[in-house]
Amino acid sequence: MTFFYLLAIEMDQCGNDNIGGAEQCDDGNTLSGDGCSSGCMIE
Amino acid sequence: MTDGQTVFILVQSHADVWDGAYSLSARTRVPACGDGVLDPGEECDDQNGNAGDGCAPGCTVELTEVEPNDTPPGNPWAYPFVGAIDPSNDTDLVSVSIPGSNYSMLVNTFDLGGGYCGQGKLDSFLVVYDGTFQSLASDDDSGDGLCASVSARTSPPAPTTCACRARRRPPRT
Repeated sequence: MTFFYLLAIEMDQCGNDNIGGAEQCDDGNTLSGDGCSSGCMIE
Repeated sequence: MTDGQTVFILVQSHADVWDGAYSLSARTRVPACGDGVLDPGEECDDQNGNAGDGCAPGCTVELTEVEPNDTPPGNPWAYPFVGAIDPSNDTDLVSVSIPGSNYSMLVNTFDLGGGYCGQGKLDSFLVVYDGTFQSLASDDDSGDGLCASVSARTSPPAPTTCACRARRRPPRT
């Protein structure tokens, strides 16, 4: 039995003001301490 | 089933500790390509007649993967990427170019019709590796049904390539 799958990959750069990839937030910068971390996770 | 055929439905209690009223519903449908249900003879059914989305108008898959695809660098990723897992311990390797630093990626496996990851028959496992084949993240069943969903972040210096390994079952530990 062959199983077919679709592999979807979404990528996004942290700090570009667009929430994508695995980001929880993106406030347009990569500074921590402003509610959205340098890795685009909610603080 | 054929037109005019009589079928019987038997209803039994699972255990003798419950009793009461119930309702019974039964529906029939004509199996067809494009109805979103994976019927016998169909490799896929994505409920549309579009080509180029991984499932062709005749419900055959538009396979991206080129076998053998078991060793680095694997197949290059492009959307839509359709792979085949056969046999069940098959491992597929897909390489992805990361355009710059500080990127995050969300990787998902989906079925090509039927939903719930092939009605629970497709149990994929995903591992994301960096450019030196160190594991960044892995996942078994966080997606739809038994499909996998994994997120990973690239840390500076960014790897130029990530490899996503898909397999039907999780590796034995």
